[in-house]
Amino acid sequence: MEKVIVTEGLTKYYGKARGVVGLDLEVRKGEVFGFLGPNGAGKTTTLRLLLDLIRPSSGKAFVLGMDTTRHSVKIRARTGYLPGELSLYDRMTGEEFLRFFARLRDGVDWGYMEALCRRLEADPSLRISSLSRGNKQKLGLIQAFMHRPELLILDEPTSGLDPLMQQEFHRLVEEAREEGRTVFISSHNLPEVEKMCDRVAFIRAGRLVEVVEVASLKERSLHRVEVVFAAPPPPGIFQSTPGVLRADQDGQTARILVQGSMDSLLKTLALYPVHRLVSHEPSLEEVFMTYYGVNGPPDIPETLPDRGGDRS
Amino acid sequence: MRLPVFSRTVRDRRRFLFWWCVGMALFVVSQVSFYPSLKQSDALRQYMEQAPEWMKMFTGGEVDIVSPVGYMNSQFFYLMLPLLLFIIAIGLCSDALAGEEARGTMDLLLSAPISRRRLLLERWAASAFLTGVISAAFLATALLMAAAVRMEIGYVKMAEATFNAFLIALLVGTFSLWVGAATGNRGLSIALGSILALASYLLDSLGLMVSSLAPWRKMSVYYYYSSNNVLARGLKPGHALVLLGGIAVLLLLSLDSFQGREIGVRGSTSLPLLHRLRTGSSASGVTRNR
Ligand SMILES: Nc1ncnc2c1ncn2[C@@H]1O[C@H](COP(=O)(O)OP(=O)(O)O)[C@@H](O)[C@H]1O
Ligand SMILES: [Mg+2]
Repeated sequence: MEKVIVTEGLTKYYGKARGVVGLDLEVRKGEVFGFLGPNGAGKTTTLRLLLDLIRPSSGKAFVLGMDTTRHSVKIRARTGYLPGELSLYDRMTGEEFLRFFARLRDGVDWGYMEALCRRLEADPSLRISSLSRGNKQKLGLIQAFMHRPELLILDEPTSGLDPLMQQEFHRLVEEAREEGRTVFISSHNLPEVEKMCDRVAFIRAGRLVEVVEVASLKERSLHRVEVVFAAPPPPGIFQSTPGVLRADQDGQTARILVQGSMDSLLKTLALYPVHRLVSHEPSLEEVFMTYYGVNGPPDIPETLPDRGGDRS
Repeated sequence: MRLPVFSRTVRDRRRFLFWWCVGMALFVVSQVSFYPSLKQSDALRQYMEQAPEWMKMFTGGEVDIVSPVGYMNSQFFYLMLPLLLFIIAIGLCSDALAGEEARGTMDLLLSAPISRRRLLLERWAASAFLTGVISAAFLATALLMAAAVRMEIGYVKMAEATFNAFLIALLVGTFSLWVGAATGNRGLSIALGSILALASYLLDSLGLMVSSLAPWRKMSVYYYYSSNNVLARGLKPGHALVLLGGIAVLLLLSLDSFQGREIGVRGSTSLPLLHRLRTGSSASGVTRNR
């Protein structure tokens, strides 16, 4: 299968500070690939290496079959990029900005651009300095999509977008997938990535932890459940409940971490008088700790010895 | 040929251009309109004849400020015109790359299919063009005003002297561009450009006064601008070539540095040429992080 992005031992240090270390990654043509990790994991560093904005300390990266440090202009002609910390030209209007970028590229269909503006509800006649963060983000997205590139490299694309616009963005990604284009999305939001992506790479502290099919992720999805009982139940009632990774009981309240199906937990709870029940998506840190942490469940120290990354 | 970055840069700077042209013209009008009354005043002539040596530093060694050439030199060419053009060229050239990086828009700009070389050249050309237009505004107003007050001065010599000032300003500006290309630091680019301008002006002027410094004058780029009284004698090809050569070298150094620049990485300096010279290797794109 054709590979759109390949990195081989890609490593970036900022002086002595770690960016990414020994990253081996393959993104296939036509897939929506999530690049997931907490803040400071090295996502932006990786994406900026692919765009040749910064240079590897060691290792290599290939995009659309070309070396990123040698054929960057050709790569960029076929790629759309949304930077993570988006800065736009404050003194231009949205339209001036989009026209300028359309002129830097060939073959931008102005009709398609206008359709994108309508769909994302962006008003290009406004001066950029007067726009909210979310509205700037829309211009950034339009700029990335406007030339229908073969590859989209999007750094935390939904940050600042309201939920309605996030859905519209999901549809844009879906259309790109249907047209056989490839989308590489960085995010620190697991549920969002699960919704959009075919495969996900987990990155932590600069190292690749694992690449998984999203379908397989769902089977081992985590939930954090908080239960308030009407009367304190006897201790240890969850000890033999399948799927419960951890349970902390404190009087009437219990905090439980569940993996996969919630069925067994609910059947156990049914035996006691429940006053209130809340279920949360776990934070990315919790997911990491649970899947890859040394001691299993969360509430372990911030830094964790890198396990999965020692592959370079 | 399409020059999207050049034309966009000039358009973004149209207000800057307009106001500098207006300011330059007002400055020329105010200075030259004094000329008729000055010419009739013997007091100033006598004063200048008795003036102490160090006064010459501020009039470029020219004691005569009453003849048309002397007046134009003392009012514009010895200091004020190059000074104003330095400010303009340093401002534009430090903004061209380092300013773009500081505002965070370089990421987006360099995600478009434009090579770093081309971006740099178009930005540089736009800076040179804008500085040139403002120089031309100076020249046009000065010639009109000279005619208006019946000051006899050669058009061609005036154009040569203005072009000379444009060249030294572009050289200093291109130095700022290089600092910006290597460090992405706008403040440093402005500071080092200003220091180059000031230091070379001082070295040249002091060299004129202090005989022990005289041999060092040729080390100052300002010498190749000022030493030949272009308004009286015309542009000296050798001196113009030194300035043009300096611009070309600085432009090549800028291209070299920008090629290896790590965009948005503070404290990193890209001097691939220096690195090659030191290690004797031919590796390119080497950037040192602090
Ligand atoms: N310009 C930089 N200079 C120094 N360190 C940096 C720079 N950019 C990123 N880093 C460091 O590299 C690591 C990875 O950062 P980044 O790639 O931005 O992570 P993410 O996008 O996943 O949040 C962080 O520890 C960060 O401090
Ligand atoms: Mg980031």
